[in-house]
Amino acid sequence: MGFDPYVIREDFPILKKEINGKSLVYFDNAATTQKPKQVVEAIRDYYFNYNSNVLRSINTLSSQATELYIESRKKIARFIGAGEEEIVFTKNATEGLNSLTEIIPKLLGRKLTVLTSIMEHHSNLLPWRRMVSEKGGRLIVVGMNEDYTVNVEEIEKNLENGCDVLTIVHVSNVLGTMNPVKELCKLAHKHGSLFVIDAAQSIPHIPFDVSEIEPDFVAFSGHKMLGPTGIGVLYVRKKFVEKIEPWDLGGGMVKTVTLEDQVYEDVPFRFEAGTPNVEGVIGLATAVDYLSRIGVSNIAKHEADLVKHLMEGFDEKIITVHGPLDSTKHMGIVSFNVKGIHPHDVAQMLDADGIMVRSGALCAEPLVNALGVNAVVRVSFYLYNTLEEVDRFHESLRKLRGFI
Amino acid sequence: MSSQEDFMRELVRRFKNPPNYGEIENADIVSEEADYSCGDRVKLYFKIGGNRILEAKFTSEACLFCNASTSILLDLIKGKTIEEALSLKEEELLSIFKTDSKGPRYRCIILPLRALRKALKGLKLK
Ligand SMILES: Cc1ncc(COP(=O)(O)O)c(C=O)c1O
Repeated sequence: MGFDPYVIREDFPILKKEINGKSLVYFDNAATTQKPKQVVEAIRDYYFNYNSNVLRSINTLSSQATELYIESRKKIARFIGAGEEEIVFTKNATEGLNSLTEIIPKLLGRKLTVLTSIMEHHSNLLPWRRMVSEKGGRLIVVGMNEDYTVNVEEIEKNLENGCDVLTIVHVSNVLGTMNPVKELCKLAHKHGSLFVIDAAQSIPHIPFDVSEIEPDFVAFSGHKMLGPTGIGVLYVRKKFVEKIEPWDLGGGMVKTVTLEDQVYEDVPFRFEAGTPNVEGVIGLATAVDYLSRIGVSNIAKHEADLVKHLMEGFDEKIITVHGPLDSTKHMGIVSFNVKGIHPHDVAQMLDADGIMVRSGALCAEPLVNALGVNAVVRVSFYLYNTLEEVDRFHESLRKLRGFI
Repeated sequence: MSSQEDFMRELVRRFKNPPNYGEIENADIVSEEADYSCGDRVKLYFKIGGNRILEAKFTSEACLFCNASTSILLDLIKGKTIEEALSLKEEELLSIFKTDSKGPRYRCIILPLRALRKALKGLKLK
């Protein structure tokens, strides 16, 4: 079966909704994606037929729920080419990145020199900055090239001087440009540094395999890839899984406890203290099934078509696109400004036509400021968007001419 | 054309070059406020005489709603006492924009009020 967004759309009831009297056009997928019936149904089925606490009780219902939970973990791990013991469930990418600022200092047992970039989402900047101010060490922020990817030479120079962690966004949530993570990973390892990827905007949209890239840690969110909110993943490379200390303690992560001591559970369960987000894990596994069935590379191709159509339709006299002019360099994400009209006002005009986009600094204020503005309009696509919707977007945008 | 669109057009007509825009040289108070979540930024300038706001102007890097709201707010408080200006309610501004604190443009509309309160609260304490 070929890729057909119109068939896919049938799985997403929300796309039939009307907003301001117009049928909904959802172009804010980098913020969060819509959920297919299959995901919602899987969560419903869990609660109506299997709900019980996992990994604890000796009863049939709990073993059935546990089996679902374990199976789900396997699917999610396989989706990124990881082993099931290499993934830790978090609530989102943000939590994963924050945890690393606890995990890595303990793992290395020293103050860290951390290298990151101006392209980061706040969630890959603020936690490291706090870590450095509380625990000592140094945070170095490298810049961007003219092609709107991180400056690899600058990174290498810093790595040569000695760094502990290189942490980089894979696909920018503002520009849609993709950083060369495989090359960066090689460089980091060559110079004795750990390599962390913020894959929140890449794993949902392009094929991603940890066994090919070989990063040490990867963080991403379920809600940006058809899954429910409140579930995310922190990937931990096998060679560190046994070495890192649990950061949260409590129930579910210990084998035995005496008043003096405790023995932790096996990995990865020792990293998941407390009752886990079972519905989230099951929902995300179903989302992953869905994406695998469609094929992530098909989704990437479709998004490339949408971006091309979008960029070709822009009137360069009034639209400034941020990032490369080559549409193939934008992984489903395009940010722009309209001459003389504030991004919020552009967003509101589009909203009046039922078209949902994001405007503002997009949780990446240093990057947006580096583009020479303090806010942008962002369009971000996913598998259910269509060329027709892009046409509607352009039609709506044309009305803004009267405002300039 | 939707009513939302009509309203936007009306705003553009009246506030594309908003009244009260500009700096006051030798202002008695200058107050800046920004909303980092959306990127709007306004700067208010006041001339104060006794307990009264004699003149008020603003500069900004902001959206249409924020500019319009600031422009309107300054009209509302010119000639008022500090206490009167401080007693102005969020709702008064929001209702002009036919919205409330749940509306999507709440933060844009309210930003100048935050700047105003920041500027005048100190004075009141003196
Ligand atoms: C590049 C990037 N990193 C991290 C995040 C944080 O994701 P979450 O809010 O799901 O934790 C986002 C979400 O906007 C993102 O785009």
